[in-house]
Amino acid sequence: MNSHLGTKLVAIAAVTLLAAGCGSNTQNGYQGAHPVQRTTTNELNTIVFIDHQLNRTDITKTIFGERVQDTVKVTLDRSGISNSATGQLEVWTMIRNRTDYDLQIEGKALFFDANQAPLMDETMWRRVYVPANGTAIYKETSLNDRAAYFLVELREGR
Amino acid sequence: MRQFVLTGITLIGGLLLTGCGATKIDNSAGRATVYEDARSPGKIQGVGVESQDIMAVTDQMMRDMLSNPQLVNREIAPRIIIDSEYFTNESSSRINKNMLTDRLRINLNRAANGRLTFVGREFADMVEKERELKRMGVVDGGTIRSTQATAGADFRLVGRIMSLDAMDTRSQERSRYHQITFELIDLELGTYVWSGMYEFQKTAQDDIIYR
Repeated sequence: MNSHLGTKLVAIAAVTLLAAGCGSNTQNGYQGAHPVQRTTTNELNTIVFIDHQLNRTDITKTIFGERVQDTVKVTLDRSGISNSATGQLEVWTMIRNRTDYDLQIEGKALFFDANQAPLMDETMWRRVYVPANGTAIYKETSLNDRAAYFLVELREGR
Repeated sequence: MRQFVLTGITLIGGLLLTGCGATKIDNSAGRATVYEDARSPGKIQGVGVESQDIMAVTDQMMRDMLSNPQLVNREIAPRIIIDSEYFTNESSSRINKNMLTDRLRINLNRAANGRLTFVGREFADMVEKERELKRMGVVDGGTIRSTQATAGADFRLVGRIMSLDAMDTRSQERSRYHQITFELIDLELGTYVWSGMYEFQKTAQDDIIYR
């Protein structure tokens, strides 16, 4: 009898502690484990979602191992870089809306030189309208031909 | 029984250490301030042209102009006049046109790095007065050089801010579509050498006053 009670108590305590210790609030009231994107380093030449509501990966550690869950509203189908006729770096990406609702996405690009040093070339937010289940293109151009690397940040339009 | 509970506690401790030992992020809001990011919509929003629109439109036009080989790939940097003289506001939005033209010229001048030359026609009178004083010998000739005349321009910015308004009389909701055009005119031939356009539409209960 005592042994059963002890087992139950230990189990309840474990679940409660795990829930309390691992669960936490993230931006916009989203409740859950911290998305992986929150703690990973943004590498250059990548396009990242800074709005975790749009695209995130949650890894929750449980007693049975890691539980990986991807939540997406928007995905990037294709991306690329090229050089314009005047030598500027052009970065583009194809944004796919996976929801049944029209979405507005804002993008901002930062450019870096060949040594990965910032060129202080940061674009303003460019708004892209992505229809429900549709696709839109986000494209940005650097100011000069010194740009060799980029970092694009995407968020939901405000 | 005691041994069992101890084992349980050790197990929980181990799970907590392994499961939640990652970087702790303090996700609380930052300190309150009156400053706002002018690149994003602020607390007070309406259907007119706002700071984020001015910054976005000038940034896009600047990057577009800099990627035009006809403008920036010339052997001799072309001379351009960018001011609000031929940039008109035909919209129902109240806006100082100089905020657009000045921002465009200043950012272009900084980014072009000599690939484009800007003529300050707005201040031609000031330059002429100084030149006259120099020619009359009231002041000396300065340290740079003297030229026969001031710079003539190759291209000049023209453009329009236009709008289309619609209002729901029942809900008092107002919708405004803005179209802002920018074009460069060849000042010899009269042809358009570059064109750019920026469009946006906003809908809101329009109880905002723009000053």
